[in-house]
Amino acid sequence: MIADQRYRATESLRAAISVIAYPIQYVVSLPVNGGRMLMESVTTRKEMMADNERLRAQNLLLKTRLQKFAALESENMRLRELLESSIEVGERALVADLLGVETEPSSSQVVLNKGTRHGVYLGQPVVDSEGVTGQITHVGPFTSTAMLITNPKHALPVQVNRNGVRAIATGGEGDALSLSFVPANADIRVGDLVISSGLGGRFPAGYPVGEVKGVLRTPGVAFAKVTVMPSARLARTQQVLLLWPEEKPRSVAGLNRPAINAE
Amino acid sequence: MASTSRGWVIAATFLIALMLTALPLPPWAAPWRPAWVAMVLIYWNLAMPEHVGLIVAFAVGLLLDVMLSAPMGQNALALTTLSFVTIANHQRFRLYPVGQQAIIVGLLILLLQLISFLLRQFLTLQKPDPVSHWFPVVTSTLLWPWLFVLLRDLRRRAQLN
Repeated sequence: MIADQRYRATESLRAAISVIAYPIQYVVSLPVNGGRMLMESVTTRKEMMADNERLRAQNLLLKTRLQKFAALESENMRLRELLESSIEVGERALVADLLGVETEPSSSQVVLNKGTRHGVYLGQPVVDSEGVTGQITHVGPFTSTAMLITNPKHALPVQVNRNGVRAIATGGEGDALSLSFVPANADIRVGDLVISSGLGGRFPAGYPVGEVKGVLRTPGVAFAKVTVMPSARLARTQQVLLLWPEEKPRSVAGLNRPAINAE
Repeated sequence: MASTSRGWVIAATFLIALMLTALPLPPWAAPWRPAWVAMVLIYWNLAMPEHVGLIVAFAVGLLLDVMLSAPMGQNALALTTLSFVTIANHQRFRLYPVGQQAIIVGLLILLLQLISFLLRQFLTLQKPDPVSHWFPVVTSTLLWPWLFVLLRDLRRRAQLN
């Protein structure tokens, strides 16, 4: 057990057994997903139309914003080229569903329905529509387990969007994250957006992580106590995105960004 | 023929127990989830200790570990210990009336929870809740008579002994 916890010595055994566990988890998640499908299929026409209307408006909004982003992105690239540095924008992504199954109580983990067969790898970043969700900790052929960023074992290199102050966001504060080793005089205010900094090499840079909820500076203590509310909907989300930071986006339906025109 | 069908019946009961363990419950009910797998294991240990022994306990425990993404071996160790205690005393436990058996089962589940509590306390950073961790002991004790009757009828129907 210590070997497993400290050195991941039993990872292949775990992967093998997860093949047996998958049918059980799949069958259990069926009624949950089935219930959701039933709910969807009995929504009235009126609700559907309202929903449709809302989504269309949202789509328009997002598309408009995306146009702006594309322009900004290319401008940013040009400026960076002038500075002779470049960043990669965009990565391959895959939508994964959460299996409706229980894990160890209070362990901040979720089981996803994608595994090595879909190219999932250990330590892969997981995000949802609102922000960073966590990373993959166990992979089987058909399933994988993701550790949420609120898990006390999890640490995530972040920066403040406003001024680029870097910090490490760790879990273990219940629903919130805490920034460790932030100097007491660092310029962090309540309401600041915290994004991933990409420094650990595991998470791509620039994904929103959360919003600063409280900054506690105790006189005489070298570090400030900063709490961050995750922006990802960790408890409610049904679908997440698996990211391949090293790969450029391929044809993932509805997910790849519009090609940036060179000039 | 008889031995394979026996295997299937036992495997099916464990499968159902595993499913009940993986079934998502609302947050207020989740800590009260009975230790289904342990109860089924205790039953078969009492009824057929020569067929369902420590190896089965260990295998089921490993499967449970993977399913719950627990530290590898946590449930395996706990269930094997539980199974050992049960089998060592199975002739005595078998003779008890169901009510008394339920109390014994409660104590066995308490042992199980104690082992997993200690393991998680020392192995993982996520400390188990000191109160709600013991809730399964209560529900398992209360549910034992029903599970016992159910599995006994199943065993008689399938003509296992």
